[in-house]
Amino acid sequence: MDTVSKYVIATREFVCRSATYMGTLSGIMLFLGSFFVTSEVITRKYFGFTSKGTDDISGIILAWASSWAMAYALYKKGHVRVDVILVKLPYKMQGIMNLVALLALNFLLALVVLSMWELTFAAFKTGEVRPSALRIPLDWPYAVWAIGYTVFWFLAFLMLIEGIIDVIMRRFSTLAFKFGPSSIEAEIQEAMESSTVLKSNKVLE
Amino acid sequence: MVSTILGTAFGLLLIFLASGMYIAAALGLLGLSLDLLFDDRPLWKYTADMMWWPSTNFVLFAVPLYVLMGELLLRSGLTDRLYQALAKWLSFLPGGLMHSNIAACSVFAAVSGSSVATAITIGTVALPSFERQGYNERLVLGSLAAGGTLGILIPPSIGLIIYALITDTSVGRLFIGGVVPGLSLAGMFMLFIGVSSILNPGIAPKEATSTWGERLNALPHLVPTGSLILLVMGSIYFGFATPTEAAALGVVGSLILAILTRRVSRNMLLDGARATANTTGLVMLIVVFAQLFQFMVGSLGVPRAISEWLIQLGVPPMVSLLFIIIFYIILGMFMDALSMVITTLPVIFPVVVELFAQNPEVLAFDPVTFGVIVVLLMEAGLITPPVGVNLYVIQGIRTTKGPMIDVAIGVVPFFIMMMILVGVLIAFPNMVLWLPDLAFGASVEGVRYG
Repeated sequence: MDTVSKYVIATREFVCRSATYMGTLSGIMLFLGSFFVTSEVITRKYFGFTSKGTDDISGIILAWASSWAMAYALYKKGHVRVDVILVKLPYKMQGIMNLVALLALNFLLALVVLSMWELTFAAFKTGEVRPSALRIPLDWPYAVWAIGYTVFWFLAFLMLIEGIIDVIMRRFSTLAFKFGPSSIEAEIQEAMESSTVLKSNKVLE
Repeated sequence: MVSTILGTAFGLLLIFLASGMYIAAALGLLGLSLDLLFDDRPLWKYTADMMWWPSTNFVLFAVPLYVLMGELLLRSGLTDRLYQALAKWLSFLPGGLMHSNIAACSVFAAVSGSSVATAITIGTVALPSFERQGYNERLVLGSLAAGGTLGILIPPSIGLIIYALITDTSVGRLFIGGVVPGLSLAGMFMLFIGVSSILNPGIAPKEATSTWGERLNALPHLVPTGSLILLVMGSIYFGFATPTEAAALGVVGSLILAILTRRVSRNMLLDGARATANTTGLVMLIVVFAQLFQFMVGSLGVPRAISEWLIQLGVPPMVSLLFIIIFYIILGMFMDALSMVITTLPVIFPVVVELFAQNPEVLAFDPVTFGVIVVLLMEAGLITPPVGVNLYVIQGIRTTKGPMIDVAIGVVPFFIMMMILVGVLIAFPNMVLWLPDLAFGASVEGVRYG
């Protein structure tokens, strides 16, 4: 069991690292999206020119950026849960409830991801286009979108397996800590680290 | 039949949420279960189609952009100078530096769409100034926790964008509609601080009055934030850009500011990108599945059934509205504010619309006014324990040791102000509507009921 556990953890950590790259890419896409929209506003206002595709293109950027951010947010414990009752339970119950939450997420994502790939393959077959001025083909946009959710599901699946192993090996507190909702202290810590406010105070002094 | 659906939906949602499930998963599974149990059309087969629409919605694109803008500002170190500059102008008032807390929160709120970001940013710069003895600590902490909530009332506001999406209301009108209530709430906060400092001088020491020279010297520090506010809100108000386009302009603007203050580095940008991705992922997941849920609930006719039931019972709309407000206050104690609204609005909004459409003589109902009221209730949710994020944020960054209850007691007067404003807005909806009417003309959407 220990060996299996090690392999699962190693794979999960690898997926987490990939998710971090995907999260970074997602943020970069948003930067590019904002440059694109800004240039559209300026050219429309001052040069009377518009690509007529702002809505379409930024819509697709949003779909990609958000789907590629999903796995990263799962890894960073970003996805919101109501934890008022949960954190008051003993570790054993907390561990099991985390497993239930992961099971539910897996079930839903399995359905979503299958449905997304079905949609994607159908679009490749029928040549579906976005019903708008630019008539952008939807096959590749769907595929990129589906990849984000697929990685999200894969990470959730690995977490579920890891959680089941933890339950079998009776490591309840590890499970509660690893996959429990993020503690508010951790969130604040992260927000503070990401802010240069404190550091800049020191610079000013 | 409808009562069975409603009972099942409510029961399942309660179990799902209380068990600590991911809120998005709870909403998605609930929508799908309702479809499987009560609808003979297999809507679940079209899950991906139903998700694609909200995922590519141009209006929603504003959410990550405002988040990104906030992340850039957070890292550009502009806020400490902003705070000091405001202190020079305001600390002569009775209540001293506490006024700068509210003013700095309001100014930052006008470039940030998030309350937590506002509380963290202003709280971190403000708290060290209070280390000297003399201020009532509870009130100081309360002013920061409550001041931070202005982030989602004073536009741009992520709360208002999500409300706009669920209720199909114009974001531009909502944003401009939030200006007067937002400034009024800030004004009420400051009035309260001032009056209570006059009545009880013990709560705030008299600050040395700054000279006019000092004040004028501090002005340039207000310019960067001021120009961003002008860029973002001005472009919406004057019809130069839609709220999403204004958000994009804001990102570029804050990037330029960060370059000018020499805070830009590869790491700073990548950190900002990742933090934005995290928030985008979590918000979009809930929004997308809430839309799925909304679609299922709507196709089963649940909201209409509830409003018909309420009308049959003969409940006056004002009483229903009061119940909704109390419901949100209680729910806000236990749920994250944004999730609370996303989860409940798909059912509550159509019910409210229906109720008021049936009784137009009671009160003219407008989705923009209701949106601002909902956001005020979200703000209240951010400062009511046990789950009040802003309380934890301020407790987390306070420099003195002390129990959490200090912050919770400190926000009580500010909470009361919020509730007073809710009452005022119900009585005088024009307080919300006159500015958007001035900017865009009277409601163009034909959605003003009654």
